[in-house]
Amino acid sequence: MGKTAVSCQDLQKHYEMGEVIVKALRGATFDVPEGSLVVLLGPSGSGKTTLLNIIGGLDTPTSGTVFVDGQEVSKLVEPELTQYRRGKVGFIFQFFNLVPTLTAEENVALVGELAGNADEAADLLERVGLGERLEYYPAELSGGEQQRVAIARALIKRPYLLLGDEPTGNLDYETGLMVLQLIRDVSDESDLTVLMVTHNAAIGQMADIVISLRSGHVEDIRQNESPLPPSELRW
Amino acid sequence: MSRLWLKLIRDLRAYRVQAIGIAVVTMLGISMYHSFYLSYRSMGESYEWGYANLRLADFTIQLDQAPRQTVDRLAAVPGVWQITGRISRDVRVEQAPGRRKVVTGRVISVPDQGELQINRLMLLEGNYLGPPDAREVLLERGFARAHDYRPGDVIYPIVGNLRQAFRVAGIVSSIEYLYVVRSKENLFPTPESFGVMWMRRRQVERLFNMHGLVNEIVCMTAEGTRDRVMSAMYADLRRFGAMPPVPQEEQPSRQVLQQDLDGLAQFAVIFPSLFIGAAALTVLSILSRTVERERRQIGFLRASGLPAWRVGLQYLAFAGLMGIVGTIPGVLLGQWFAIGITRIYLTELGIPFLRLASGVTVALIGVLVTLTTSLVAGWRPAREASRMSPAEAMRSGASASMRHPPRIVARLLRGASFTTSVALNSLFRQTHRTVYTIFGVASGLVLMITTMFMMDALGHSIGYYFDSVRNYDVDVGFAAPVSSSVVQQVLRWPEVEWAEGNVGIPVTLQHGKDVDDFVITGVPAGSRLQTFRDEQGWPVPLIGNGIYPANSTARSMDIERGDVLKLQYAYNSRDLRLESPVKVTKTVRQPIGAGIYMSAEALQRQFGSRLGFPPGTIGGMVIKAKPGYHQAVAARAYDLPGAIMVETTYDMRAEVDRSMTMNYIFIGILMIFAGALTVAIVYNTINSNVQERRAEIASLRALGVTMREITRMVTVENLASTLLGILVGVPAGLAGARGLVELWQTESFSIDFYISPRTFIISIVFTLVLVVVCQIPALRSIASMNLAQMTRLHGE
Repeated sequence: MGKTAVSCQDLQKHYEMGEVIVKALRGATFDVPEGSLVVLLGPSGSGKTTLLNIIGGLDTPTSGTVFVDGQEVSKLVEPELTQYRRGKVGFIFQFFNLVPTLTAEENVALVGELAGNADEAADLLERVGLGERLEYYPAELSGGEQQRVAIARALIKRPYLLLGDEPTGNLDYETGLMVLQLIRDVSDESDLTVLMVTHNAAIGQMADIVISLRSGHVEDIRQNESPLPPSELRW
Repeated sequence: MSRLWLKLIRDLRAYRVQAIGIAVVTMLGISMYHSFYLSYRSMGESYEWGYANLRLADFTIQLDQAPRQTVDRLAAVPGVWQITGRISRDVRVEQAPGRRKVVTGRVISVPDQGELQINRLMLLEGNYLGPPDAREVLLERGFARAHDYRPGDVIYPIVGNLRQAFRVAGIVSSIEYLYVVRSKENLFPTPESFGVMWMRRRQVERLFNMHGLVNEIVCMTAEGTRDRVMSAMYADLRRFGAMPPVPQEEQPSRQVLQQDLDGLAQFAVIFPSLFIGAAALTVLSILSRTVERERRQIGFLRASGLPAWRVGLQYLAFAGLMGIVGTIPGVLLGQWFAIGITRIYLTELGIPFLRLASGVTVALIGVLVTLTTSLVAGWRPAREASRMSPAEAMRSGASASMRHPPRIVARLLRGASFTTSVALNSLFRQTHRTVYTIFGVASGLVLMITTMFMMDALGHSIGYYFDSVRNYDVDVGFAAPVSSSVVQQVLRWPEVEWAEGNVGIPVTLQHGKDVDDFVITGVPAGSRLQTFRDEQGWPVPLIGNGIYPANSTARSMDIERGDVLKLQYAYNSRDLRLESPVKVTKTVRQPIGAGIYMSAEALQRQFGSRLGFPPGTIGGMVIKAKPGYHQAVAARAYDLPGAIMVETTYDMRAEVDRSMTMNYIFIGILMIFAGALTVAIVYNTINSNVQERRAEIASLRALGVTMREITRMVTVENLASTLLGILVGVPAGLAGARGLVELWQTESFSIDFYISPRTFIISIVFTLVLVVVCQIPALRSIASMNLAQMTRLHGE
């Protein structure tokens, strides 16, 4: 393993819900090496999405530090955060969040325009197996196809970091496996650092590193010496 | 094109129902503004063109009489450009021997050679006047039309009980009498009983035995010299019994037209503002809903690095585009309406020249105002979108507007059916939906109530005037004071129910810097035919020595109860000078026309002896005829010795109704606009209410809830929020109407604040029915939707 892609030190995140303070993160600390595929594993309420949001610059920590590619993300404020997200991070969400009034190609190109790579939209869709669906609107695509569009959309920026929040949570088993394979391929081919949040322990088996969270703490960090190919995952 | 702009255009297409709704609302607002404002400017330009090209006198001075040489002398006053001395007298006119229709004709002299150089005439039919010895007359078009005079007919002025015959040479329109009114106390044209005619000077001198004399001066002056010239001439002519000069802007016809124009200008601003404001509310409502619906997309775009300002710009552009889409058809429709309105108006007034003002500036202002309003309306939702935290926006089920219903509601709904309880709870849970519906319904109601109010108020005010203030059938004016015994004589006529004498003196009243001319009418104590009430509706008997101005007069003079004014006799001269302080006892409610009243006894006691109408004389008389006899009484009244003017309330009311036609047309157009706008607003609101629940309704249907139950649920919620909208809209409509009535008051109108119960019933029932009808298309589309697809897309 080489350079550290993501480094979190004693991350804390507190939310005020009326008079109650919810501690979503209570001092999470870990490092992620560049080019690795990491699964953040934990049950609902363990703080994994909060952690992903902070790493992705969607949210800021109450305390602690986050470094991504050597840049202290936890210090950034808007509009620096926007620039950070624009340049370094690609997102894949459980609900695909495609723009319903744009075609598959246009959805990808929309984000591509932010990075100046809009022309690559068709190629990327080809790469995720949707070369025949360029002109389809989201409503005309299956869930798996929509998620593949979302992956292409995340990749078009050529991000330094790919973040996935339950990317298979809204998909059936077969489609889920297909999407995971795609993510694995992308990670391997582009030496891309991937952080994926899931509550599904089986998915952890395909990761290089599994970080288990519980009640806002990092409970365990496990190096996976021989990750399984996604096609062999069972749940 | 950038994909973001592409998204904008596609979104507009996707939300086409809402976009069309807003476009319609905007189109109505801008077309109303464009048509009314352009009509206002076109009419203004037409009048100005007429005043300049047909040389409306810069000022007019009436006098008892003066030698014609005086005019030559006055022509030398520095600044005088053109001056004419003329004879102007009112006479009784018989249209044909045996035809007893009673008419007063104002005879105005025209130079023996050539045409008028000041207050020019436009020949519409027939020929101009022939040589001075030809017994010919030109008739004003309104008068000719009312009595069906054609060139070649004969008309019979009666002077000194002698019937004279004059041939009608032609029919004309006069710049001085575009709006034919006798005086500012009688601002309604009554061509049935009053008309204007022009004759060669020689004929007029013979007719009135005024050889070498004039009794009116009309003058045009070099630029910037008018006031100085006017003062100099008035000072010079006072020895000839000159009345204060009437500058062009106070000339009765011009004044009435200007009031009309001012009213139109108010219409042109107030109502379109209401409409464009309603369009803005609709933009706000739809855009807020769009932002709410697109939270996830916004969150994702922000997560992908789209700057906040760019997200805001996206939605601001959406608002601007929605607003701007309706402006082009709106301007075109407005242009078409403007030409129509101006043409109808000018034709109605018999004004043969039309100058259509340029619509470019008006259109640009309209587009700019609409665009700005849309952007202002879109500002808040756009800012909300730009400030959305991406993580929060993408959270499943996140919604800023979800609330818990108050406990009391939950208790009240205990025992209610499931659908009712869900629907009513939604009012509190989906507060944004409830608030938008309240806004939408309230906006529609404000528009309907304010426009219908105008119809109510006008009808009520006219009705009150003719049924209460002017409670007589025939008004008779005498050339000079006559003995009050004539009243006894008239009371003996079998067709007469009651008759009363009155007196009037022309005066100039001064209050601070405000100076104006009026006729004070003296009404006998205990009058049955002229009764007065105050603003609160209490009877006001005319007692004491004070004056009782009509409320419009009080407003124009800025006077109120207790004020002391300086009263001067209008014909003050070296020989007769009359000046006295006079106190305002109370103002009286009189919706139509200006007027100042006083006890006849007090008026005669104070001024009668010096002005030649001591107690025991009258200057006029009002008569109540037995039902069906008003024309017969009017005809007989003309035979009374000295009777110069006979006017029937019937004719006047017909004329008032006729002259109100334009107002009613305007109000009718406004009502159509308001109705259409209400439909558009309510449709947008209700359609959005149903559309944004597609996923929820799909889930309910998937769970086995029937469309019937869903329809009931949606209807109950919509009607409940509509009722809340009504609770807000009715008081807001009342406030709007009250604001409007303040703006509507002029020097000749004092419109009552009155809204008929019918207006409330119609607008509320219309709104309720509209709400139910407007939800049908959306419900139908939901009934036919693909449940599998809808439930699959749920959550996106």
